[in-house]
Amino acid sequence: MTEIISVNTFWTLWLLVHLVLAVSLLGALTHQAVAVMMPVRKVAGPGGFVSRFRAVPAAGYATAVCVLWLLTFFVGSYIYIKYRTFIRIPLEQAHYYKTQGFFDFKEHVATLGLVLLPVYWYFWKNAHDAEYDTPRKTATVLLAAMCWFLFIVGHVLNNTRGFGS
Amino acid sequence: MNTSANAGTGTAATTKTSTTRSTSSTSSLAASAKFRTFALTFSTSAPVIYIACLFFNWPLFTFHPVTNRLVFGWEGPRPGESGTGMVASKRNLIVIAAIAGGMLWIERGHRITIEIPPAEVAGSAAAACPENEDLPHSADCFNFLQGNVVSEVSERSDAVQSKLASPELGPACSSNNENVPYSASCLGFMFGWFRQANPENTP
Repeated sequence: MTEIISVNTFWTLWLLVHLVLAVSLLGALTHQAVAVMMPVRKVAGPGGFVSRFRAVPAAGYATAVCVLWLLTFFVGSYIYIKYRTFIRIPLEQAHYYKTQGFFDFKEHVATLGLVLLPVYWYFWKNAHDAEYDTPRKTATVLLAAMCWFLFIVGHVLNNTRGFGS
Repeated sequence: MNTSANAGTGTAATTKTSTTRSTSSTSSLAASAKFRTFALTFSTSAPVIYIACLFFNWPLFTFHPVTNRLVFGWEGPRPGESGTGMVASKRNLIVIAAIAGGMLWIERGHRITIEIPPAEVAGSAAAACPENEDLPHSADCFNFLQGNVVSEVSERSDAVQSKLASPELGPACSSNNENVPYSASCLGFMFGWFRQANPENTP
């Protein structure tokens, strides 16, 4: 592999894959969270951008969100090997303790989101049951907030020291 | 989305309806009570186990990259393995623990009741039988005594009883009267229908 592309390019490509998956996940979860918090009931006349943004079949996103979260998590775990040795150590040496600490927290948040997926999926697949309305909303908004946090922290860390820098 | 045009006023009204529960469950997994138990148990216990693993530093395995050594659980570096880069995985442990917990919680619901039935149920069933053995037993009593299982033996027994009581055989033996000769049916009843008379004693 190293004959075709450099080591830095290899890891940067994987980081891009991680990014694309994360953006897809972020979009799906944000649509779903807005739809569940502010559902569109009936609007006379043409709806605006916000109305169209939240007027999505939210239940259809559940499986995609689970799959995307899993893929993003495993790709992130794979590139974590490189982060651990080539990024984290220089960050420590440069005394970027807050950046590194937030990234440590990101790992925990991603794991906690991962273990929430079964119940999240179950709540959405039983969306006809009014008993699960509140937990479904809570789980969806919580996962969306987690995803935004993960995205921002990862983005800031990449700005601080990305692969190949 | 429904779109309707009001021709009388020349205005158009667009009605949009979007609900978050428009899609119902289509998979058997989502309708499974076992999966519901597993999902709820897994998603509630895993964060707690995860925090505990972090707090007590319980990894599933430890990897020492200097010697490329993978150890189950936690183990510090041996002499010659000192240095940075030791990786201890905690996520695998909490996932395995939570899955095991969920499965155990599902199995918790599988119980076989071997207790004695409640007194009122047993009492009502036993009431079908008379207190005194001299009194006739009803069909309900026989069912209760046999556990509602009609065995082959009981079927044969019923067949013999019905044959003996059939009108073609007539009354068997005169009861409590030894002063009258036994009829053929009475002899047959007492000695069996295939009894052959002794020819020496036959007049």
